[in-house]
Amino acid sequence: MRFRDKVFEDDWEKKEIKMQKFSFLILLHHLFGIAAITLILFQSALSLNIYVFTIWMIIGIIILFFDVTRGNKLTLNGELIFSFFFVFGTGLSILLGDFSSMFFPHSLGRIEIILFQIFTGTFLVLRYTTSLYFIEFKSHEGFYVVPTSSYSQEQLKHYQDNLILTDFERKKTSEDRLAKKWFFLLQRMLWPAVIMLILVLFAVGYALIIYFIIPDNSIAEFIVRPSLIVVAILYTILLLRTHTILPEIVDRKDDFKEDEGTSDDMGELESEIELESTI
Amino acid sequence: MLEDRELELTKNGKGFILFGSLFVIIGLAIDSYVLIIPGIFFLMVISSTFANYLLTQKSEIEVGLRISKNYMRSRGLLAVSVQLTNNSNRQVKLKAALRFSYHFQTIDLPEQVFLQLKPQETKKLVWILIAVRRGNAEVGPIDLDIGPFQYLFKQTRRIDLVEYIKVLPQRPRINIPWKTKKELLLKMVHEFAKRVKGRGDEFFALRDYMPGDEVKHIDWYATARHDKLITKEFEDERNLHFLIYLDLGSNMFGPKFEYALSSVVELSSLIQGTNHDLAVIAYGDNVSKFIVPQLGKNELKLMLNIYDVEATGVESNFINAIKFTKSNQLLHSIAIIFSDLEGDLTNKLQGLHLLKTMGSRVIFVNFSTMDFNILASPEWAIDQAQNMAYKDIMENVFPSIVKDDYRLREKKIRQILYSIGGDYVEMKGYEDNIILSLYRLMKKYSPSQRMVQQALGR
Repeated sequence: MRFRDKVFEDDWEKKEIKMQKFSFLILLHHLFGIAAITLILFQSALSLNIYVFTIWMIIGIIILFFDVTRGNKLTLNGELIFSFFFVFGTGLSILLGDFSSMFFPHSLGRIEIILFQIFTGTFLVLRYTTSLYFIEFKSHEGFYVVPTSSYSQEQLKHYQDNLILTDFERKKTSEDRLAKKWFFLLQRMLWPAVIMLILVLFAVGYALIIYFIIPDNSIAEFIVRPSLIVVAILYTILLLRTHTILPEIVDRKDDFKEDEGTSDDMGELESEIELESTI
Repeated sequence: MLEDRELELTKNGKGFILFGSLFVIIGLAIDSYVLIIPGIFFLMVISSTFANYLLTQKSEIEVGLRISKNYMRSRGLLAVSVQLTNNSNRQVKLKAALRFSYHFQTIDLPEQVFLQLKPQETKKLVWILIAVRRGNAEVGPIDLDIGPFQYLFKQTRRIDLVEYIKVLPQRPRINIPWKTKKELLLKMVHEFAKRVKGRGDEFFALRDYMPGDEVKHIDWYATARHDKLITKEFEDERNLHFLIYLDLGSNMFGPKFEYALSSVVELSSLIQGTNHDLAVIAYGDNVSKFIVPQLGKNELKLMLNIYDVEATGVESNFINAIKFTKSNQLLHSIAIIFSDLEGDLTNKLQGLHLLKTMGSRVIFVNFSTMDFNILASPEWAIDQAQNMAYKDIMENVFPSIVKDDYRLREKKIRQILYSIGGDYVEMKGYEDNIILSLYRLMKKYSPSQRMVQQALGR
């Protein structure tokens, strides 16, 4: 280390912005995950199938282990791994359980199953939302320096005092409140949610009509669900297509702008030529 | 204002689409709401990012960047103000990030700031940066990340506003009073100036009146005392020509060179305030820069030129620099050489002889002392020698052979310097100062000191 670096380190302290060591949001995130797993475990226990129960038990332990070891490091990759475990567990429990549903319908009523599943799904969504929020606002990294010695503190203070009434005067920038940030995120998701709701309502209405006209479950199984699956696939394709098209839209608009610009230039040129001819 | 837009669906975003469709399809197939609900959520998030992009892509954000100064010293502070104006009718939420070169670090505020801009609203952000390195630094460009979920769908606008700043080396730690500097200059002039007898301003001596001398110069008091005509004799003081040689060779690198450079600047700024001539010759293999600071409007600009000098990788050739001065007729000057004792020493010795033939007075400033070499040597970094005592370093890092060789070289150069009537100055480390060293040297030339020296037979 050079002497001057030593002097610098005495005067200024380097502060890194890292993910918070403990955050209420992380606790919530873990709690939602645990709640979802417990509900599914409870349901699988009620299904009275030892294979299904052990599978979810193992998966639950693995997820809990991941959560504990990762601690405060929330990443989207981790969340995707978490969701992969859910797909994996479901697949295994289909193989070892019943064909028609995820769990045995003999010991549980259909409405009970739906209720259990909806609650579990909601907890999962809450977990994802908290993690998305955390990654969006709490996990940015970087560093800055803070004056520590009296010399550097005075240097900074004098400098800031001299900046008063100039362009460089510094006022405290206050960050938005938590509620405001949440509101912003929800606001962004409002319109897509409405569109999705309309789609789902259409599907439900379609299903109800079929139920009323042909009161047979088998037809619903063969018509409604495949149609919804097709809708999902189509929507996925639409999303991927939109992603590829978006930059093209921007480029095309720029082209139009350039065209307008050139026409203006041409006009100016023409007027100049006219002026010259008059002179 | 040039704008560069970047748009990318990230790996995670693609994962979200994949998992969304997988969840929904499998969930529908097996009638499992556990999968359907999160699947819809995944798709919804991605749709929201696309919708946000379509809504905000038209919104125009005007950005202005200003900095408080164009050149500064290292360890100094710089204020950067960024003004953001939302010209659209839609509220925009964004993350503004200021990019800057490695010469700076931010104080109290991170590089990225979250902002919310209402329609037609203007917000001003002020960063205060501290310069940690010297060089040609730049502030800018500015990155604006618009909208949420940047981890899924990256939507960045890079605004090409770049400001260039020259960061000079830091202020010297020793503040030498102006009185000392003036005294040093006077002493140097007194010692080195070539005097021409005859007409001038400075009184030299009294002598007998000779026919042809001007009557107005007759000293009447002395004439009365001695009872014969006695006249005053004057002398003319010519301007001194200072030539500063700065070694840019491969042996002068790192902190040692930085220190030599700042010493050159300190000395040249001292000389520049007087009516003496000054030229700085920065030489590597050949003369790479010849700077003549002048009085006037461009004075500062020329001074700043010195800071643009960088050490070259090749071994320096002192003779080439001397040849350059000879061809440019820079004779009878005071040559102050900022160099070291490493590398090819015979080259330097020959160069000093050449200087003597050109009628120059030579002052050799040696930057090759133990302190500098320790800091520049790789052993310092490897052995974590900063935690060791100085004595241990001298014993471990510097074997006795090196020390002996160093002493031999010093002896050689001292011999040559004394034979040509030059002087040898050693910079004893970072706490030493060139002005103080020269002051010490000039004290040797004071009349009383000279008497002592003569009495001792030196």
